[in-house]
Amino acid sequence: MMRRAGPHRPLIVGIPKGRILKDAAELFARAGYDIEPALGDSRKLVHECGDVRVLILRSQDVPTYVDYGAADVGIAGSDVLEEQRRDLYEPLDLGIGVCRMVVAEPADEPVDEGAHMHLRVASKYPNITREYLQRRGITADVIKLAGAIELGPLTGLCDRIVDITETGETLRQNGLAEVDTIMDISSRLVVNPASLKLRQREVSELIELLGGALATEDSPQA
Amino acid sequence: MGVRDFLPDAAARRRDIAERLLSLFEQWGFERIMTPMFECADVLERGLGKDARAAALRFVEPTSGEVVAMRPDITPQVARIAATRLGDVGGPLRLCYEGAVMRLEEGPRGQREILQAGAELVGAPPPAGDVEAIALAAAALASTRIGELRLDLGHMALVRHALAGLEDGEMLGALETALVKKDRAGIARASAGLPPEKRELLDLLPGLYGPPADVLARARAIPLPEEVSASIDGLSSVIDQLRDLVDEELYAGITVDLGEVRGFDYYTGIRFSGYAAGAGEAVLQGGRYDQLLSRYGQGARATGFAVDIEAVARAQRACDTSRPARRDRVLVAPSEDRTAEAARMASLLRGESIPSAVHLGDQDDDAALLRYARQVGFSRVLMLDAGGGARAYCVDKDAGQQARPVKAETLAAATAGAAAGLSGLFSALALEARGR
Repeated sequence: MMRRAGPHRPLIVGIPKGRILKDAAELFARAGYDIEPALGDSRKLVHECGDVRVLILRSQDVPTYVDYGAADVGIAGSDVLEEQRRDLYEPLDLGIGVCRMVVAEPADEPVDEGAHMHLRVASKYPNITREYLQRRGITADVIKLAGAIELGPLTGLCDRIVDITETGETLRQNGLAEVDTIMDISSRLVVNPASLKLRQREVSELIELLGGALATEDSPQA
Repeated sequence: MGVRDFLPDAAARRRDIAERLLSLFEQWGFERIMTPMFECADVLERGLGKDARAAALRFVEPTSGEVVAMRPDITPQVARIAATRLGDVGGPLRLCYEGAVMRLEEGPRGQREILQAGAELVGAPPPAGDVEAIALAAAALASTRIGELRLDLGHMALVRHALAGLEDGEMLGALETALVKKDRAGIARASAGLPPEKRELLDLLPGLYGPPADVLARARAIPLPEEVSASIDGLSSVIDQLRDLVDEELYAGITVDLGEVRGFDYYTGIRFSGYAAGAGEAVLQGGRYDQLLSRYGQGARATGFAVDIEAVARAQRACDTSRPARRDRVLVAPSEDRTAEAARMASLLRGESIPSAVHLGDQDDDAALLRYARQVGFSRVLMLDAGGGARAYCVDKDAGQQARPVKAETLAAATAGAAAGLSGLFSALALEARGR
């Protein structure tokens, strides 16, 4: 087992595999952290990258690892954070993994909200969906699915879906039309509350350097 | 459900932590009290902040029809007791406790039963009260046998000042959420409509943590009303006074966080937290709560803290702190005709403070008996064989198994009422086994 305690271990960073990992590696490189090794062998889940140890995780699992302190910091989508409501610091919006959480329905079979039909809404995000429906005063069954949400309305499983989309292309291809946007989403740097205090210098430095890298990116190019 | 059983090894670890803490508190002159697991909801909730109220598990007590709440926090109960007693004693009260609290928490961890041990110093003005409470908290951290510890201090004044005068409930909610997360972008969004100096102050809060000298210097550079500046000077002076009272390494590592707001609903002044590598959350939280007692009819200044025993246990395991050494326990296993003699011997051993019990099954199969003894935590077995002989076994995990015939005179002396031979026998056996 890897040692979890001890002052000499590197800072442990949880990053979701896939696109976010590539964008994160670029951002970390600009901040002066070389996590390039983590882009290599895709079967390897732990990568020692100098001052940091990178764990390659499922995006939904990053907040869990950080919450329990198995990772000191992590990169997590604001969708996952909002859904899970864990007690973490979120010091930086990293501006990567940008997308939206939307409500969608079959384009050729729109829901008639005035008909007071009892809706069924499928989503990977039952908590966000329930909260959204409550806010709008809509009573509905929320069906939790693990993926391929677009299939729900096409097969009669549900009337609407709540899902994330970047361009809306997948929705359109499946004959779905957006009804509402619930929130804008981007990846955040999350920090375990105890790690922020126990490894204050390293964590502050990481936040500062990543923040600096973000600021130079935002500033207009000369 | 967030509730669990603790089997012997886990229970021993937690009991050891709790006992170390309570004996430390008592060393510092604190008296132990016990408070009920649930109370009338409206009495309990008078002393709870917004978060703790939402975390309280309520139910209707069937005989009276009253709504009662499981305590999510013991401090308000201590405050209630102190408010009624304080008038009589005319001086500070030092009270400590240990027990479980029950919390319904947002997020996937859900409902949780948390074991706590805490100390409250009531009727103690700043700064002396703060210095004593924090010094005790530091000693409590040090008593937990964890390698990597951090003491984090703060003061509520700056955050309260930054949020003072904001009346838009929605904005206040959004600001509090963003402050809890140290989410600077979120703070900027939520404070967009406020005057520039307010926005600038709010923008500084999430970054106001780090080494004391650095953070205090940055805080002093902010234009602040006199009472807020005085609070920050007060914190600075308390940190100076702690120098000789706190373990050197722990003192050198102290951090200050002036933007911390999580879990500090009723705190009014200096607050403090303890962190340990491997716990993932604070192992100790406390602070000054000068307005809490007045909710129970007698205003008094007070400070105190609680230690999360489960979090300490987790940190101990993460940094390989050994389980508390188990005391030797002796199982006396008699043949059928010697049960009365076995009961006498067990009683003699108990008289020598050696835990012991008489085996209730038969002892035909030695190997099975020894295996059983080890499984249920007996480290020594004394077999009284039919016909008058006896054998002693050591069944420690590390010592292996070893038999030793017991001398007839030792047995005779024990039977006659002299236990010294018996306890001596077991310590000799242990030494021999470890020496191998």
